[in-house]
Amino acid sequence: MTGPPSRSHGAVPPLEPAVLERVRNRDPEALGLLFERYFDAVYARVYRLLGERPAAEDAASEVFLKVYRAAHQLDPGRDPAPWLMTIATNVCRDLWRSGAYRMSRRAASALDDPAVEARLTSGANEPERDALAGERDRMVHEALQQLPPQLRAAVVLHDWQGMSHQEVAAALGLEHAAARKRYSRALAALAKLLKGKLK
Amino acid sequence: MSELHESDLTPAEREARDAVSALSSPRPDAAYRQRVARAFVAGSLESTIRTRRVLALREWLAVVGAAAALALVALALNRGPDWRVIEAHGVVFAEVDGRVLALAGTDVEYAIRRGTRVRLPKDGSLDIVAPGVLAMSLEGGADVVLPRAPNRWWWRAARGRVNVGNAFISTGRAFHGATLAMATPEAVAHVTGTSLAVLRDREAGTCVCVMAGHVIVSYGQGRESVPVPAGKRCICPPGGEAEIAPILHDSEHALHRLNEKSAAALGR
Repeated sequence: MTGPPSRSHGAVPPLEPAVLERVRNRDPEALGLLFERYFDAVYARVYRLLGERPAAEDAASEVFLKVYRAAHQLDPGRDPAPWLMTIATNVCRDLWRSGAYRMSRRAASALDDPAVEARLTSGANEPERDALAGERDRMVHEALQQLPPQLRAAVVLHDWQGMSHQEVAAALGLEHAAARKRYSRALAALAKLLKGKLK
Repeated sequence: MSELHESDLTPAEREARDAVSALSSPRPDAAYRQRVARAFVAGSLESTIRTRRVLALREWLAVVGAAAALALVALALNRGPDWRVIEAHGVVFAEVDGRVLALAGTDVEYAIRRGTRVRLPKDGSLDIVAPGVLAMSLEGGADVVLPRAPNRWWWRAARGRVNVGNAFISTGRAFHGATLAMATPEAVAHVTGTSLAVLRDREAGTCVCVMAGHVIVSYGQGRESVPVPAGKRCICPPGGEAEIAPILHDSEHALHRLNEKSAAALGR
């Protein structure tokens, strides 16, 4: 399998069923726990899928609005993470289809550079290593940004989020074979974009 | 086969895959996170999002409005000067909005502001100037579509037409970089800064007299343009070959008179 040194970003332990039951009733304390547990993972996913901070902030807010509205549908017996992540992916897909997103992509600013953010948030006092990692992050992020959203999603969900092709297919509303094909195309395109830059 | 195998990937693809896998986890801005958390718990996220959208829309509208206002100001500032009358004799027939008006005095200036068709009686004359840019003198019997004065910075091409009669043209300092095309039924004189006369007679055709500078005359279909240097004239008879000859003295005198009259207004 194409298993890289697997890092599943955004994997978080589920909340207890009792808490989820209270979330169903929109209990403020339980909602707070749900938010604290899952918000960063949702934000990270939408950021990687959309590639810009303003769009990611809008999308993450939208996801939690949908969660609030549909809280009564939550199954307390199951981990809510897949449900949340499906909502997150769907919100991103809706955004890709909108003209506003296409316009905002053209105006993406350097402030959205994840390398800058990585440097600011790494916390480790190793400036040189941070700078190198940040530079690499920036290059990969830029290359991903150049891919069409659907290709980007295939590679981000599979390689960054650690999802199987079957899960990616379900998340993107595709057949399994189509998801694999899309991933292959995305990876080939990304390899071309990154050629000679990662040394 | 449900997943791709390691061996299916090229080394570059493996490298790209590992690079994506090693990407950092972006973290939200703390203030934003706190704001969303508060609204989510309080059940007011919808209004928060709506407020944010309204603010974004307002911001966008403000930016668009400012850009539009700036564009309008730029367009207004870019506009070349209006024609002013230096001297007018007799009645001037000006075509304004499809109606021919017989005008005299200050009414003439009002009618010809941005260029219009002007016809003069045999005993009439009209000297006008677009300050700093262009001066024109029309003799009696002239039927001319006045060019508007070229704009200041962009869209600096102007176009006029001499249907019949004599038109004398002189450019000023602010004309530099602009172009003027004066057409007749036979030819077009392309002007980039000069003193010239465009004389048109129904039988004899067009004569372009150049006193100073340099004019290119194009005439007929598929014929090469003719450069006309200072001190020369280009005669374009209807359907005939263009001919270069020395400038007409009458044209030279008329252009000298025009230059004297308009010197101050043209900033010479």
